[in-house]
Amino acid sequence: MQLPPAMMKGVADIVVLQVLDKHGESYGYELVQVIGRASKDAFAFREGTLYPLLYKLEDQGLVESSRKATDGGKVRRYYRISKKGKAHLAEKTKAYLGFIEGLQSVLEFGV
Amino acid sequence: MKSEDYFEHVAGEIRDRDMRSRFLEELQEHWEDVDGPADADPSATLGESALLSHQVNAVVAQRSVGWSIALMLFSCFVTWILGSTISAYIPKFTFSFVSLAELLTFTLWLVVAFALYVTVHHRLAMYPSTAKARAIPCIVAFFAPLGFTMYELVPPLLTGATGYDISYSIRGFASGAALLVMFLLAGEVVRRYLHVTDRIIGSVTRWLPWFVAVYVTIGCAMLIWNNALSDGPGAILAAPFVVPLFVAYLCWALLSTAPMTLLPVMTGFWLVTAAAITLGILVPVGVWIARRRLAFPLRLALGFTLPIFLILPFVPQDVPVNTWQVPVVWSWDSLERSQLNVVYPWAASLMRRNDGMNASYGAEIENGSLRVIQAGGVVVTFEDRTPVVRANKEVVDDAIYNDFPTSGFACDGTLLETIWDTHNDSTSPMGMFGSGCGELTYNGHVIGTIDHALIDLDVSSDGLLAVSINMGSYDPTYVYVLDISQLQ
Repeated sequence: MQLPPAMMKGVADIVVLQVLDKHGESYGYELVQVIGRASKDAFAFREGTLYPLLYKLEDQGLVESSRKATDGGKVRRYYRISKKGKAHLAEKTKAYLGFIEGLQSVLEFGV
Repeated sequence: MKSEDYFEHVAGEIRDRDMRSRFLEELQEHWEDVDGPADADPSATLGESALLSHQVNAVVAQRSVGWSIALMLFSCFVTWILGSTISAYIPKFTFSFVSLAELLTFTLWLVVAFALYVTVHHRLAMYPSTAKARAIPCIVAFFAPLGFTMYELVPPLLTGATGYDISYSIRGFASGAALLVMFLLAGEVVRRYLHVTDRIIGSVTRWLPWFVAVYVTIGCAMLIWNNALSDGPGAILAAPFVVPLFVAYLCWALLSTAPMTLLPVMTGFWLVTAAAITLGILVPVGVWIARRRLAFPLRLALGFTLPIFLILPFVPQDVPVNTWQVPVVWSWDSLERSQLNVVYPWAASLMRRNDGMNASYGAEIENGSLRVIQAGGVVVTFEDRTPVVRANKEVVDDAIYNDFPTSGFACDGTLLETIWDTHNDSTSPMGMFGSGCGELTYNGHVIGTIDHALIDLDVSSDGLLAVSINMGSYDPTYVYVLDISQLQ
């Protein structure tokens, strides 16, 4: 089930950072695929969302990028999480887990 | 076409033009990675995806070329306006073949500069980078010295002017070529180590348009008030070249022990003028431009041209045509020493350089009158030379560089050769040499006390010595004419 865009908006950066942290250096299309698999297709990033978000994260220093040639000779831009990004992710993860726990408690309240 | 609309729609979300270029490229890569059309644009097939990629490139390239051509035409128009304005304001500056050649040269420079701009920008489409995109105007801006060189080189070649010091142009051209190589190498280093330098250069160059605008403003202000009046439009191109020259000169002057009473005044005047123009007019206009998100090349063009327009009203406009004279203030304390005060900045507008060697002063006597010469052209003639010199020779040569050795001269016991160590063997039209002179002696005889830094020393074969002194201007402010014939 795909989530509404409004719900996606708040978590998009942490999703990208988490995938970059766990999956490692990735290019744009690869990120879309991994995010889809990891979220069981709950998060479907379109290119119009993904790349501007990556640029924003890069501008904030949370993500770094470089162009590399693959074995097949194709040149792609790869993104990876920075040190600052890892710290940001750890902080955000903690906050989101607390949020989720609280939300879950509320949703299960009286059930 | 729907797919192109889709591009525009998606890319339109990114306002920054450089980032859009990068985004479009990554979109292209993204679609190439997509296994089937359903994952990407529902309207696109694989074949369409490739076609769209070409369209993306075409859009980027067309915009680059379009902006560049527009900028070039705009600059040419500005040049024409500027040249006409200067022609109207300044006597003796007629639309001769020489000025036409200057204009052609200026246009040629623009074509070369923007051809380079377009070429590099096309490479950017292949290797997009915000940092490199922002670095390009820097290259264009610093090409001004090359433009200046061409301005010096081409008109004499076209007109067959004689007496032109070709080595000046060759050296200048070599400097320009060296600059070009330097910037290309720097660009290559940036490209190779982009992942390292991207962020640093990106943030540094974020303010480049404003830096260029302020830089050129100061340079133009200096040129207008100093030398541009006599140099024409081409000199405007030299503005970025003059700024470091000015800074170097200022450092030299500040380190000098000579009392330069006029220097702080002139320096302050320049800086206040530039600051007033920048803060009062340029910045508000710039903010207006920035708020309308005009494309980067246009901002750069405005950065270049606005200062010129803004400074033009400050150009003196009441120079009397046909009746001009060099304002001269006489003061002498002996027959041996006379002082010719050339009032600044009028002198700069009136002392035409006609062979590319400015700042070269000399003296000669012809038919009983004393003539002060600059660059082979007579600046002023004194019919009655009696109070000036005591020499009687009627036949003299033009006093230009190297006609007379400077050996024998000393300033406060320091031989001038050690100060002007490159002077005797150089054809350089100008050198910032010397220091606070103090007591100027020749062969042990005190011939004057000059409490300023010297810039030039010319001696004619009949024993007239012209000492040029720079007081903060590009051209000498004071010229002392001394008779040393008795001492030779």
